[in-house]
Amino acid sequence: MSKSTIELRIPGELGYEKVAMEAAATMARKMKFSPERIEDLRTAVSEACINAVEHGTKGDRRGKVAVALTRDGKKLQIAVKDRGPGFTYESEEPNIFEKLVDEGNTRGWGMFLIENLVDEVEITSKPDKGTTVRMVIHLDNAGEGPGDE
Amino acid sequence: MSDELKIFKKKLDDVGIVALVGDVTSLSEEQIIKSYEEFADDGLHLIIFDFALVSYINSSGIAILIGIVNKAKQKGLTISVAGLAPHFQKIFKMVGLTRFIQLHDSVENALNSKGVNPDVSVSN
Repeated sequence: MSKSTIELRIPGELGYEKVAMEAAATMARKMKFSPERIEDLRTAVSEACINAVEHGTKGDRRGKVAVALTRDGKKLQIAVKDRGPGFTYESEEPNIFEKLVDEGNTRGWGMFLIENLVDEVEITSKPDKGTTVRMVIHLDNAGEGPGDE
Repeated sequence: MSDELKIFKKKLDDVGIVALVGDVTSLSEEQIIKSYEEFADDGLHLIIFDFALVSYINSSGIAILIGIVNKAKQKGLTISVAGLAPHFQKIFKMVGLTRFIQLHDSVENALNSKGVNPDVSVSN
């Protein structure tokens, strides 16, 4: 089966991540992912878009976040890209006990959730060139849902 | 105030019920914390957050709850969550929130577990 891609550009403003979530969920339903996996994907896409808005466009509605959804056989890939300052990603698991004693720092769960909800994650970030978070879920690992195709 | 979330509150004996309708995100942080603090300042022992009509919770929403659990611990208050969809139950377990809050299928079950008569119609 050939690849097919849908591309979206959402405003760099919190709340619009739901547009990307729904697009990803629609594509996953068409590919017959199970409802549970679709929920996982919705959360992962939402978190990637929120990171792009908060750290990439820094909440500037004029700064866009590009979302590319690619169906490739039994694989669904979602790439979320911003043109922000970039960052150095360190995969360190947040600890709720530490969060509970530091009232000012209860956040920081986004990447942790993404890594635990999808099958593959790749982060590419370059200073002043932006960041791309590429997430993949595989139908084989998912269990098939009812779908609509 | 966020348009994304509506909050309805009710008090039963020394239990506060906060019913959330909409999205639990950073956009609704102020509303949720205000609702918690109004009950916490009222000398209640248990606050139940009803998530039955919440369809979207993101990591900022999780962070709000962690902050509330922290405040509640300092006051000796118990926080319960009712009606959470299975996906978000999984997320709560993933981040470790279920170590500090009790999950219940419904507000009625949460109240029954505390021996409170579950007359749970709520209002603003």
